[in-house]
Order: sequence, then C-alpha cells, then structure tokens
Amino acid sequence: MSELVLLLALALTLLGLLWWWARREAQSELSGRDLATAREILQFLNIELPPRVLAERVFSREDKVFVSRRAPRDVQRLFERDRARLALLWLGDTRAAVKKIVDLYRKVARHHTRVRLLVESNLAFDYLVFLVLCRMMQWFIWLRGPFAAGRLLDHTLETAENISLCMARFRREDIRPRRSEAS
Amino acid sequence: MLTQIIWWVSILLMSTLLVRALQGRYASRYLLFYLYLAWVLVSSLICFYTFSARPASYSTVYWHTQFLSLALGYGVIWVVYSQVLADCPGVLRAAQTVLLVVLVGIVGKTVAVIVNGEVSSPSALPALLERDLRAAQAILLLVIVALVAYYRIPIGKNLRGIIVGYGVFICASVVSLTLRAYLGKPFQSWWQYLQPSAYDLTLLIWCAALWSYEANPKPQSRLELEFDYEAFAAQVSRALARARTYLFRTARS
Repeated sequence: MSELVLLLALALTLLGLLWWWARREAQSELSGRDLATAREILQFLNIELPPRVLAERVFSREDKVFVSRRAPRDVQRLFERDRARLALLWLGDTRAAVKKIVDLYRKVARHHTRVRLLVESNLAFDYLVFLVLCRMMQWFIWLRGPFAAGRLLDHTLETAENISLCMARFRREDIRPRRSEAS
Repeated sequence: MLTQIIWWVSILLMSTLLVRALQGRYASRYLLFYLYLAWVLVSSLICFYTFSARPASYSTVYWHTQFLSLALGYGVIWVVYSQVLADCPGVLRAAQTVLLVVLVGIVGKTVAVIVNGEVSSPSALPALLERDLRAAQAILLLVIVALVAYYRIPIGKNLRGIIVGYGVFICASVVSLTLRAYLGKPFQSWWQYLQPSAYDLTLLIWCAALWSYEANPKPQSRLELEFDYEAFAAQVSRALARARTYLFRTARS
C-alpha cells in the first residue's frame, strides 16, 4: 500500500512540477543571455537592502501608542491599515533584494565546473527556509498587524544583513569579473 | 474500435514528427530521440499487425517491443540531460551522482523483487518491471526539471516540448501501471485505453514543440570569473543557516 502511495505521489509531483515549470517558462521571456554579465554582477553586488531605520519606524510601537492616545478611532484604524501596507512593501523589498543576490549566485555557480552537490543542496534548503519565513511573516502582518510582528522583524533583518555582509566580503576577496566576447 | 482509433492517431502523429524532422534536417540534432520515435512507430505497426493477424501471440510481442521502447526512452532522457546541461558542467556532474544513486537503487530493488519471488504471478512480472523502470525515468525527469527551474537554465522550445511531453507520458504510465498492479483485472479495460491515450497527448505536445527546429539558447557573451566557488558558497550558506536557526528559535519562543 505504501508503494502505491509513493508511486502515485511521485507521478503527481512530476506532473505538478511540469505544469508549474511549463507555465513559468511560457510567461518569462526567453533570452540567450543566460550568463551573468560583469555589469550585472557589479550592479547586484551593490544591492542595498531597505534601511533598518525605515523598518524600525514602520514597526515602531511608540507611534502606535502615540496615535492610540491622541487620535480618534477612525484615524487609528487608518493608521494601522497604512502601516500594515508599508510593512508588506518593506518585506517585499527585503525579499526581492535577497532573491537578487541568490539569483546572482545561481547564475554564477551553474557555469562553474566544480559545483558540489552537498553545498548546493544546503544552500537551496537555507534559501527555501528564508522564503518560507518571509511568507510566514507576511501572513503574520496580515493577521495580527505590523506591531505584533516586531520580534520576527528583527530576525528577518538579521537574515538579510548576514547575506548582504557575506556578499560584501565576497566582493572584496573572491571575485574579479573579467569580460571577454565569445567569437 | 476506440483502441484502433487511438492506435492510428499515434501512428499518424509519429509519422508526421519523423517526416517533419527529416524534411527540416534536424533529426540529427536529437538523434536518440528520433531513433526512439522511429522504433516506437515500427513496434506499433508490428503490434498492430500481431493484434489483427495473430491475437494469441500479441501479449508476448507487446512486452518484448515495450521493453526495447523503454530502454530507448532512457536515450530520450540522455538527450535532455546532455543538451540542457551542456553549458553547466559542474551541475551536470552533480546531477550524474544523483542519477547513479537513483538507478542503482531502482535496479537493485527490481532485482531483489525478482530473486525473492515477490511477484504474485509470472504474467504480472513485465508490468511490474516496466512500472519500476518508468518510476526511475520519472525521478530522472524530476531531477532535471528541478535543476532547470532552480538554476534558471534557459532552454529552447524543442527541448522544453520533449521534457513536458515525455513527462506527461511517464506520469500516465506510472499511474496506470501502479493501479494495474494493485487493482488487477478490473483495471485492465481502463489500462488499454489510458496508456495509449496518454501517448497520443504526448505526441501532440511533441508535434507542437518540434514542428520546426529551434536551437537551445546559447550565451551571447562569456564572462570569466576568477573566484573561489567554495568560499563564496560557504559564505552564502553560513549566513543563511545562521539566520535560519535564529529565525526558528524566535518562531518557537
């Protein structure tokens, strides 16, 4: 019975993956420029994450306390709705910045001759977890509002900054782009 | 009657695909794929003749031709791997390791089933063997699609069509062979329509994708990077792992 479930799950997973992939491929523009260009790399390596001070302001409980003390109920509601929208925009920007960095890594790594299976699978897993946590935080903001999401915020920022830091080290030490035209 | 219609449709579609490839002179670009297709066409005609003229020996002829088709199907997967990962030597090497493990596992399991005599009746053996080998093909396709999606490897219309079409057929085969093994005779009447219909769908996808030749996208320029891959990967990985642990700890607290 377990074999039956396993084989059916395998077939359905493959079918689902093919469906998702074929749709994504059809939507995205196919170009021959699949290698990272030197300009692109420099541009990506200079990616700036949304400033921490901005995030802290968006999620600040002090503002909430101030508004809830001084403003009427309607204004409070409007304030919370706008802050939630800002928080979601900030989260989207942070995720997009990290995604660009990881996309660049994948673009560079796929042409490398000595790609290691273990390294790649670990990295893919870690990135997946980051994306899942971002999604969780998004739901948390939708459900509970930005002010209750404060603790998770700190750690999302930590993730983004760690990646940014490591890219900065990589820029300084490990990479020297050199472009040459193929004949 | 329905079986014959499905049969003739597949023969017509296979002939169209082969004629188009020969006319457009691109059969050699996907040689193993077209060899596989030519063989399936020939074997369909042989089976059709046997089914009409010598129904008693149809089962034997069917399973013999089916196993050769299955073996040549691995050639299709080889075409996909070698062409999709042509510009990604490191990824190809990593994928080969995964494939070797998968193949050894599946073949080992199949041999163990035969040696231990775990098959209910001798007539069920070919279907079980085919099911396991199709499952291995499904895993191989799963790996390549995952790699293409993860590394955003650009691929052309022809190869995309080959992957999607063959994937659909493999899925239908695994599902129908699995259900046949568990449900037995009651499923037989469904099975004789399900698998050939899925193959017709596959041929339609191939006709749309391989109507004309479209080269796989090649990089227009080549960027050479002098960098320590392992150091780069380790830094990105360490940062992500540290952050993940931190986030999980917070989520739990």
